[in-house]
Amino acid sequence: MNYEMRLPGYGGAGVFLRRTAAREPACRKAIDIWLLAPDFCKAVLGRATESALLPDLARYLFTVASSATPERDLPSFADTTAGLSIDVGTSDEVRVGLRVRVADDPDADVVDYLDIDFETSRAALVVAAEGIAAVAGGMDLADFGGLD
Amino acid sequence: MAYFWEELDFLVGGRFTSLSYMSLRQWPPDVDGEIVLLGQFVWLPPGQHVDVEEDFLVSHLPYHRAIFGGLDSVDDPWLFAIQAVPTPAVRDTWGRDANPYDVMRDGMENALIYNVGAHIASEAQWTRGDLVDIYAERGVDPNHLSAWTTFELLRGMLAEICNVDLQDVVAGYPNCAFPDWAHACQHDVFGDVFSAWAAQQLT
Repeated sequence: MNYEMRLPGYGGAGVFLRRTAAREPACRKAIDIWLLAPDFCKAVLGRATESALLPDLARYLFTVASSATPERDLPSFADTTAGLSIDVGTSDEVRVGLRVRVADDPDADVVDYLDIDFETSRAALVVAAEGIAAVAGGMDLADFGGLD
Repeated sequence: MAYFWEELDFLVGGRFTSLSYMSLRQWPPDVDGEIVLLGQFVWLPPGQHVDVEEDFLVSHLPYHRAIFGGLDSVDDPWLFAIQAVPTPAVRDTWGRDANPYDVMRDGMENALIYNVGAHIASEAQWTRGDLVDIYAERGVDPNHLSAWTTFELLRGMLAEICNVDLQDVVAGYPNCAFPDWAHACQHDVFGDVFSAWAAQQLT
């Protein structure tokens, strides 16, 4: 499985993102998203998105990792075009609890979600952010003091 | 030197930072002698967090039994994962010709799909008899191990990498590893060692 972002968690949970091309509208950038646990793998494939999603996500993950209390101090990450959102529920010195949701159909009147709650580590968040930065180009995570 | 450190001689200059053991899954006593074990050394991509990768990996290994890991002399992360299963259980599930080591290798291959940069560098396989031989090579009379299950033999070897001699583990079996220390006794020789190691009292 190739991916631009791999965020593993405790208990076998994880989130993976891969760049791809959308089928509709043609030629638009898109991502594949996997929400993984030992007993399921939920996937959304070819979800059209804006090109800033991956850099924005890298910045968010890095900021979460470096915040003492991200569950209190940071807003959710949300990309409405892709229907992807991330909330921080808990944290301590080592671990961060995340809820990742992907809208089944972002344009629907009533939106259903694929979601996963899991704990990961601050170190794993940094590795995931660095992984995105390595492929997204032109990013310097050292410049990310906080969210815009 | 502990058996596993002899096998994994890469660790010279490196660090051993984490250890976990699966105690929930038990096999019937009548198949204990037919349990076979597979240990695989996994290099992780540079920078990956051993603690979370260890837990992530074993959660996707059906026959996981134990895992330990750390950083080598240049801080590259590594794991050593041990799977175990009775041969009859594998053959009941996969057919009479199934090779239990191949079944466990397939399990690892499937789990590593979720970590593209990780790769297996080496492996070792053991039977119960092999584990008893390892104890004997370290001066333990095999007659003292007749009441030990195969998983207890493995736990003793894990205790050894926490800086406790196998002979001391055997002498303390089953209740206490440190009869001469004031310690919060777990009333389990292996639990005593792992608790002391986690509290950094065995360095």
